[in-house]
Amino acid sequence: MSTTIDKDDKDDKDDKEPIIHVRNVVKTFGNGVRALDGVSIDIGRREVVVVVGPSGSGKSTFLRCLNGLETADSGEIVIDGIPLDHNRKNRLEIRKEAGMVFQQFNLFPHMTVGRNIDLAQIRVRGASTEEARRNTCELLTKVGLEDRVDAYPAQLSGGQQQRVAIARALALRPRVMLFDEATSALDPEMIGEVLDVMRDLAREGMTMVVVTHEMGFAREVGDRAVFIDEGRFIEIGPAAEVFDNAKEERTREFLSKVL
Amino acid sequence: MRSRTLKRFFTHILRTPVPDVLGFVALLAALGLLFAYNTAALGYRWQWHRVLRFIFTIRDGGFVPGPLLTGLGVTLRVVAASLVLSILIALVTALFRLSRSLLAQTIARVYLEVIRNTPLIVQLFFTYFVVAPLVGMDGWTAAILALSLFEGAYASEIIRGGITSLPAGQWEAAYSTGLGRRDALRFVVLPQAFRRILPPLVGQAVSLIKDSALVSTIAIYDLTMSGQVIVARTFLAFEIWFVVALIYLVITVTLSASVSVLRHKLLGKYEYHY
Amino acid sequence: MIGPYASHQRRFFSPLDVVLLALLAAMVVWLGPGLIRAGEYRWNWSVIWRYMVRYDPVSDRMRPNVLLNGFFTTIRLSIWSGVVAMIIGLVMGVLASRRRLLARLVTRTYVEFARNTPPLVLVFLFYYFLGQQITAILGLEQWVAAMDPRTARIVTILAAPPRQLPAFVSAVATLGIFEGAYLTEIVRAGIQSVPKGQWEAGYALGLSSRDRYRFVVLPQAWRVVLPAAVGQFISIIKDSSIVAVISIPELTFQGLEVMAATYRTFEIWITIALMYFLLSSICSWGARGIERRLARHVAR
Repeated sequence: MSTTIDKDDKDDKDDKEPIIHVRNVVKTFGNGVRALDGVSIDIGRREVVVVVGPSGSGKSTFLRCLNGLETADSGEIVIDGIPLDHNRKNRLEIRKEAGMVFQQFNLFPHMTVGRNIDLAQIRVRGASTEEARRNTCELLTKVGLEDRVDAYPAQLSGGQQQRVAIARALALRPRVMLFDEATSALDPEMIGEVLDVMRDLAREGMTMVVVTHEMGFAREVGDRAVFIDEGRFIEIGPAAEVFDNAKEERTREFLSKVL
Repeated sequence: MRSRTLKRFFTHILRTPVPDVLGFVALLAALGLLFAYNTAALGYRWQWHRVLRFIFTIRDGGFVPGPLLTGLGVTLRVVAASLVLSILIALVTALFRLSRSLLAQTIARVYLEVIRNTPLIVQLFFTYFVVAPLVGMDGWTAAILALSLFEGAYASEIIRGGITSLPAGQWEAAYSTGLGRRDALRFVVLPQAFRRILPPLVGQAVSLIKDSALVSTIAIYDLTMSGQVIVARTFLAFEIWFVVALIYLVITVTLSASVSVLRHKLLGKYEYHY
Repeated sequence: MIGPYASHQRRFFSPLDVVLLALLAAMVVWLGPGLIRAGEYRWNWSVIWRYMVRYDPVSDRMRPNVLLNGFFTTIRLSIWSGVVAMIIGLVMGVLASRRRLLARLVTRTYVEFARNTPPLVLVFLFYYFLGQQITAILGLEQWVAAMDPRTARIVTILAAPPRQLPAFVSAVATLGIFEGAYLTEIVRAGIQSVPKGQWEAGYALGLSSRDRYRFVVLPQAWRVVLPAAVGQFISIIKDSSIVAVISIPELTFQGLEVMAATYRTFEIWITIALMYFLLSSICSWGARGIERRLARHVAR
C-alpha cells in the first residue's frame, strides 16, 4: 500500500482550480441532529480558511467530513481532484493529502515522539527507517522540538505535544492541513507556541482549514472566514470583512459575544 | 528530663508502622490460638508430624514426591494446557465479537451467555457426562476443554475491553496519518491494548489455577483430589487442607504479586491522560 | 470492524462468514457419529418431570420434588450467603479504605487469602472447622431439637429443614466468607471512586469521620457499589454449586443424586444447566435494569 505520489507532478495542475471542493454536504447523526445542512465551499491552493461559530454548530463535523473521519450522507467532496467516496483507495489518498491536528492531540502514548512521526512515513509511504528519521528531525526542528525526539508524549507539556502532533500531520507532506480546535485543550501560556507554528505554515503557503476559537489569530492569518451556525454556512468572505463588517446579523451577534 | 526523652521516643514509635504490624501479628496469633484451642476442645488431635510424608519422602537417599506433589504436577499440567487453549479461544471470540460478520457475532454472544450464566461445575459435568461420551473424549480432555471454554469466555471480554477502551482519538489519529486498518491495529491499537490486557489476563490465570481444583469432581487426580483421598484415609482434615491451601496460595499469590509489578513496568513510563 | 468507518463498511456477508459456515459444516461431520448415537439415544424427559414435581396423596396436590427443591435450596443458599457476604464486605470495605495500616493489613490479608485459594479447598477447610464450631457456638443442635413445628416450618421455608440446618448454616458461612472478599473489594473501590474533594468538603464542614462516611461518602459510593454487588450475587448463585461436594442438597447435588438413581445423564445435565441459566439470566436482567436506573439518576 505504498503508492508514492510525485508531488511535483501535481503542482503542474491548474493553480486556479480549487484544491478543496465541497458541494451540498449533508450530515445527520444517529440521534436525528443535522450537523451539516447542505454546505458548499471551494478553497483554493495556499488559501487559509478559518471556520468560526458557536459550539455545536457543526465546525468539527465539517472538518472531519473533509478527510473522511465522518461520512457525509449526501453531497460531494473532492480534495485535489480525488473524490471522497466509498472507494477505499480514494479515501486513503485523501488521508495522505490532508493532515489533521486534533484538539486532544491524540499522540500515540506508547511510542516516542520520533516513532510517532516515523510511523506513517514508513508504513504508508514506504520510507526506510533512516530516511523517515531524517525527515522527522527536520519536522521537529521546524516546530522547535528537535531535542525531544526520544521523549514519550507523557513527558511533554500540552503545547509541546500539540506541536509534535502538527509535525506528525506534516510527515506525509500533505497538500492540505486541517486544524480542529488545535489550541482549545491548552493552558493559556501554551497557546502562543502552537499558533506560531501554524502561522509559519500559513506563511509557507500551506492550504489550511482552521476551526478555532482564537478570533485574533483567525483574523490575522485567515484569508477567508466562514461563519457557521446550525449546520449552515451563514457567511463566507475575506477574513477582515467578516470580522469587521459582517453582513449577517447572526454573525455580528456571535462576534460581539466572543471578541 | 529522662521521661521526656522516653515520651518523645514513644510518640516517634507510634508514628511508624511498628505498632500496626505488632497489632496485626498479635491478631493473627490470637486467631490461631483460638482455632487450635477450639479444635482441641472438640477432640481433634493435631498430628503435623504425619503430614510431611504426603508431600515427599527421602528413600534410599533419593527424593520421592508424595501424593500431594504428584497432585500438584497434575494440577500444573491441566492449568498449562488450559491456559494455552483458553487464550486461543479468547482471542478468536474477541475478534468474532469485534468483527462485522453477524454470524460470528452471534456465535460469540451465545457462547459467552451460556458460559457466564452457568456454574463451572455444571459445565464440567456436562462436558464429562454428556459431550465426552458422544465424541469419545477421555476425562483429561474433557477437563481441559471445559476449563478452557470457561476461562476463555472471561479472558475474551478482557481482550475485547482492552481494545474498545482505547479512546476513539487514537483510531482517528492513526487513520488521519494515512495508516490502514491493519496497520492501525498493529502499530497503534494492539500495542496499547496489550499493556492494558496483560495484567488482568494474568489475574485470569490465577482464577484458572483456583478453578482447576474443580476437575477433582470428575475424577482427575489433581492436588485437591489427592488431598481428599488422604483426608479420607487418615482423617488429618485440618493439616492436609491447610497444606493444600498453602500450596495453592504460594502459586497464586506469587502470580498476583507479579501482576502489580507488571502493571508498573508496562505503564510506568508513559502513564498518559487522554 | 473496529474504529471509525464502521458504519459504511458493514457487510452482511463477509469472508469470515464463509469460513465460519465451512467450520460449522466440518463440525457437523466430525460430530456426526456422536449425533447419530444421540439420535438413537432413547430420550426420556418424563423422568425429569417426575423428579421436578411429585403427587402427594396426603394433601392431594402436586408438590415439588428433589430437582425443584434443589433449585429452591440454591436460591435460599445464595440469598443468605449474599447477605452474609454483603455485611462482611461493608465492614471490611470501609476498613480497607482507612489510612490506618493495621486496618489495611487485616483487610488485605483476608481478601488475598480468600481470593487466592480455590473455593473448593476453602469449602473443605471451612466446612470441617465451621461445621463444628458454628453448631457448637450457636447451640444449633439443641435449638433444632427443641423446635416446635411452626418454627420448624418457617425455618424450612426460609433456610433449610431443621435436620439439615447445621450443614446449611456452615455452607452459608463458607460461601459468605469467600464471596465477602469480592464484596470488600467492590465496596472499597466504590468508596475510593468518590472524589477527594468530597472528603475534604466534609472535613472542612467539621463532620466527624463517621458522619463523613455516612452522609457524604457512602451515599455516593453506593451508586458504584450496587450494580457491582448485584453482579457478584450472580457469581454467588453459580459458586453455590460448589457446596454440592459437602452434600448440601442444592441443585447440582440433586443432579448428581438423580443421575445416580436414573442414569438419565443427558436429560439431567441439560435441565440443570438450563435452570442455572434461567436463574442467572433473570438476575443479570435485573442488574442491567438497576444499572440503567442509577445511570439515569446521575445523568450529568
